Amino acid sequence: MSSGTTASVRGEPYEVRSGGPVLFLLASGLLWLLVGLTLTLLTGIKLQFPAFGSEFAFLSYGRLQSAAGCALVYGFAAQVGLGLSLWLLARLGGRALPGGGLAGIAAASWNVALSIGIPGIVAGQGTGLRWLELPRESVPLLFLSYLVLAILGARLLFQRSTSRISTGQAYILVALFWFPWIFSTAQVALVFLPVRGVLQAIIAGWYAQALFLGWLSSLALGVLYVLLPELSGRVSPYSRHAGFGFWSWLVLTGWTSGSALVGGPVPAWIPTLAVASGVLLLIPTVLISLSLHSGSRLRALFSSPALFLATVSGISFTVWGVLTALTSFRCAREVLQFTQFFVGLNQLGLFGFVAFAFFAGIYVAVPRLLGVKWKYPILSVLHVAGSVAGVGLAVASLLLGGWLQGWALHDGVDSVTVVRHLQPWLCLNFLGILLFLGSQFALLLQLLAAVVYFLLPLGQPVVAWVLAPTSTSGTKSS
Amino acid sequence: MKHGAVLFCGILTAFSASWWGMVAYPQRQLSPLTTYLGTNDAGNTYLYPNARSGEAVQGRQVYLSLGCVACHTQQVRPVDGGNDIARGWGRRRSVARDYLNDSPVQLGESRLGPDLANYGERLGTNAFPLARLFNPRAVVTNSVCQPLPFLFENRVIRSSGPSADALVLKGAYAPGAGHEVVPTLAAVQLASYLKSLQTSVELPEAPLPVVTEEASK
Repeated sequence: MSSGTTASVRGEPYEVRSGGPVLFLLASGLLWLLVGLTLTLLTGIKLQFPAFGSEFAFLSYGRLQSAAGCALVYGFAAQVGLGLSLWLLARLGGRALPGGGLAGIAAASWNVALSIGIPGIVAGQGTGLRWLELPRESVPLLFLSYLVLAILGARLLFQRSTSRISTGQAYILVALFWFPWIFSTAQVALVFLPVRGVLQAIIAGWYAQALFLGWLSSLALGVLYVLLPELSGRVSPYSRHAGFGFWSWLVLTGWTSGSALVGGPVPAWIPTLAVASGVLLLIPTVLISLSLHSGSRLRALFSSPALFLATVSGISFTVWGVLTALTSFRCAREVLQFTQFFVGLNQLGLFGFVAFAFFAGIYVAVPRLLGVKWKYPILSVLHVAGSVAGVGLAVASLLLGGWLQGWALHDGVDSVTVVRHLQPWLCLNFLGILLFLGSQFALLLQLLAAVVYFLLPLGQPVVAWVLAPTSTSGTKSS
Repeated sequence: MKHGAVLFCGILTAFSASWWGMVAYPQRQLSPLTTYLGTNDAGNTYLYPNARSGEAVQGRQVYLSLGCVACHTQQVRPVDGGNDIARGWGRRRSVARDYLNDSPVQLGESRLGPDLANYGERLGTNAFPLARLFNPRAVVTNSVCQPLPFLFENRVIRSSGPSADALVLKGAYAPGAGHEVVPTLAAVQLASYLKSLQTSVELPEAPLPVVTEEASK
């Protein structure tokens, strides 16, 4: 990035020099969020009006739902998470991002892979495996791009100028390596050399759980562990529990996947193990929540959008973790299995916890990377208020609606009637997502303004040069 | 945490443990599973699961490509794990052997529509009602399943007379005068796949419930 001068002025060379690829990851991640949320809204319309766009195969509910999920996870969460991780690792380690060009190429090719893959799903080329729907053609490029970014990130960590590794850095390290581990296993065992029968479902379940509980959570927790104390100026009185919380989380998350297979056609030990590890998951959930708890006053919360978002994200993490643990019990699964409750729980994790942590990161990172302050506080207020209200409404409606759907199915009500009764709740979810999507435009405007203000001083020589031939020599000297 | 190496080894151990436990060990446990050779009450031998017909296998691709799995599961839970059997979605629970021939397995995780593990069985000897794919509401009142008109051709009735495959559609769903709706190959394949979904076969690990005289009355 051509900001060497800004770097020396700001005195934060490690931040500004790694800025280009990071900013690119953040910006393209936000654009994929818009794509993902728009696709989610289309699925919402299909659930109210099944005949909507039914002349076109690409508007099938199943295809839209898969494309939305992939856009949100691989487009938005992965890119913003990686961007913030690289920025945090460079900053905490006191290093510049090595090979900025390489990182830029990797980030660009990640987007190329997604631009092949997501239209591929909509065109009917999806693999039919949840969260792995991206067509196989796009997978090698995606994997390679990630690997380059992960190795660059790991180098930043191992060449750090400090001796200690903070909890935040540890979570980011987990995230960097967890994804290639699970993604390569799942792709080989399910897509390229598929194993037989229900083993596919077991591995797909393991992948999905590791994707959310392991990878995305680690990225978001890494951001929260760094930002929360920094923004609030307070360290949690329980921060000494962070280490045990980290290790217990790391050990347990890989074993909870069988809870989605309770009552399924798999060996009985798989769901049983998942119930046990799911309940134990309460321990890291409580420890991590306590060690993140900053005890900020309400007034401080409302004065900083980043702190507010990070706090809401922490609370969402606690609720999400506790609900994930409680719903791994057989009695809960008997009623709630296969309902929209788990779609709601996913939205709580992906939006309420992960996305909000990332938004907080964006609010802190972008001004430092560009050396420009946020210009319009009202846009931040609109973004934060709209996002929190939208996600709150979306999640609450699906958790409640899913709960009622579960009992209706359990009581033997016929399928059509169950969905008719679910539709008002799906409508509320639609409105929540719409509000969430709308509020993202406030953030984009804010970003755009920041970029314009960043470019203004850089653009002055260009403006002067363009104006030079038309102006007289007298006026040019000004 | 001071030592990067310790942290790295710890992470690697945790990853490997869950990989061995949830990927490698299930593979070891389930890979010996093979087709079952059984004998029914009449003394005839049978193989289960049978390979699907070529048409049904093609139909499976259509099912996969349209993402039907987003709303339909294909698994029957045991009596003590849900009310699937009471709802008539199957006579016995689904077991691993039921899925030996299917790749990728479409177990599903959402039930906005009914379970389809035994859909073919519920149809009995009836042919699959293709109108259900053209527009589900033509068959099931208020259905929220999406219509798939792109799997059908709405064409002018030929001079040789209406096609034998033309759908019988009434009221608002009927094509205009002089037109008929005929299924494309993909629709026929999908119907063939849905018809092939039958799992009520006696297996040692999943016996069919004994129908007592009292219950049959």
